[in-house]
Amino acid sequence: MKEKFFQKKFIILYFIGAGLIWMGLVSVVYIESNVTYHNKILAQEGIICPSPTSKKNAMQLLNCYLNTPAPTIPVPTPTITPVVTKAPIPTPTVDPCSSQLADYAVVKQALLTKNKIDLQGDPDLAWANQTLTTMCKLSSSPTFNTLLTAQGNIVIRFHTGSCVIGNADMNTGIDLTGSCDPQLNRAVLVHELAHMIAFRNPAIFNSYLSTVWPSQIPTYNCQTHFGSGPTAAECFADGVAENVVYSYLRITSGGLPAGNPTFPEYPTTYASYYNLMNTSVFGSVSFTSF
Amino acid sequence: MLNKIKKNKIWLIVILVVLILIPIFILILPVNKNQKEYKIPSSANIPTVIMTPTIPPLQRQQNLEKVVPGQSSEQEVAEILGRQFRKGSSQGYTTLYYPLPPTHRENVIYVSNETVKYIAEEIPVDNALYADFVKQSGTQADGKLYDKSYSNAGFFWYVFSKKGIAFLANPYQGYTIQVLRFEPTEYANFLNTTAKQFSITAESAPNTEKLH
Repeated sequence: MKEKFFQKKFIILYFIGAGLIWMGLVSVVYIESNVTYHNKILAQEGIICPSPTSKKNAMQLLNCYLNTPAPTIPVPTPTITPVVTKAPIPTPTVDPCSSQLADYAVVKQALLTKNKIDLQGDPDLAWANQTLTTMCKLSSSPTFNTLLTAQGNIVIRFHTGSCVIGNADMNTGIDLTGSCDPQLNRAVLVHELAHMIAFRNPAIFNSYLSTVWPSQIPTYNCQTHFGSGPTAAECFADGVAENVVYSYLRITSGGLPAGNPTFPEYPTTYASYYNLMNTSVFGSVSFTSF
Repeated sequence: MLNKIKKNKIWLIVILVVLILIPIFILILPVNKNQKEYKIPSSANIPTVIMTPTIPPLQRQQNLEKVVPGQSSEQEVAEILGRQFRKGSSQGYTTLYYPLPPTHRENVIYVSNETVKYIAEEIPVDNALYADFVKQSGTQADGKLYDKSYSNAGFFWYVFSKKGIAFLANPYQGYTIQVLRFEPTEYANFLNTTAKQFSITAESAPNTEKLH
């Protein structure tokens, strides 16, 4: 019996049998260790196989995996290349932002189409062109454009008068009365536009309250608003304006607040103001010259 | 070799036993399921996590709603909100200022005769509190009032006097920057008392800027 057990043919069978057992057990271990990965793939296809709780369940899991349909592979939609036709050569037109315009109606139309500014009233052509120049420059900041006009056009009504007075209302828009030199006109315009930005984007003003206020800047509307200042709303608006004009103008009235007429120290000495306006209002676009 | 194995039957048995036992040992050994990692496709982009210093997030003060105007005492305020406040006075009231780091803003509790009278809460986070309150309460504000410091930025006081709450909010989005809590009262009484205390007016302040 013993001799029979160790005959050549039986020895070969023993090795084959051991090899089959070996392969079978290794396969189970291999599949089980990867079933969790495949389960993740199946789960993405909406097919869930139970996780193995023991080695005994590995075969059940194998059955689940083998019996579930293969995940569908999405066929990419072929892209259709559009047929490009040559566009007609446009008739050259004067870029309204490149030079002074000779017609008030043209300026008005340019402000409306480029900047969503609805200019009303009867300003002189020089003032209208100044307004267009300022808006063209501010338009280089997509952030500013979006904040200003997200809720539609801005109406600016011009009224004749002495050196400039501004007023902003969240319902009716901006009223500008009178005209000074271009730099002051620009400062008041941007100040009023800043009020409109606050009206339309309350989160930016709230961010100003959290990160800057009650810090103040030495400008007229911030420190002496109707003699009772300062107020957060006016300091915010003057801060936005100074971000545009600081290199050549510090906003004062009648020489108040006292000090230099220009404001070169604004970005450093009043960094909290400059940084907030530069990033949140102007999207890191700086204005050092007009 | 086969003959050698045939002759040394012990070795044959040992080889067979080892061949059978090795995979069994592999199965029996405890498997740490945590080590069973998913196979990550080679084309996957593994994001790199960059650790940066964190700035404390803006948030409202916790437990402030547990302080009740007209009921809570100064002692209870300290127990509920803690003692990290600075004390002051304003127009006859004892004021407790609770800071809201990392901002410069502070919640203010107004106390008179040992009892809380007003709670002025700053709201540094984005929200729609006023709009949400109108929707949930089903009521409209008694009136819209003006604040000289904030109305030129588009924020007005919307008062619900009988519910003892007012919101300094943007009317279009309901975005609120301050909430004022007080003892419920009639609107006329609110105008004569609370509104004057906080310089809240029925008329808008002039908002014309001029340069000359």
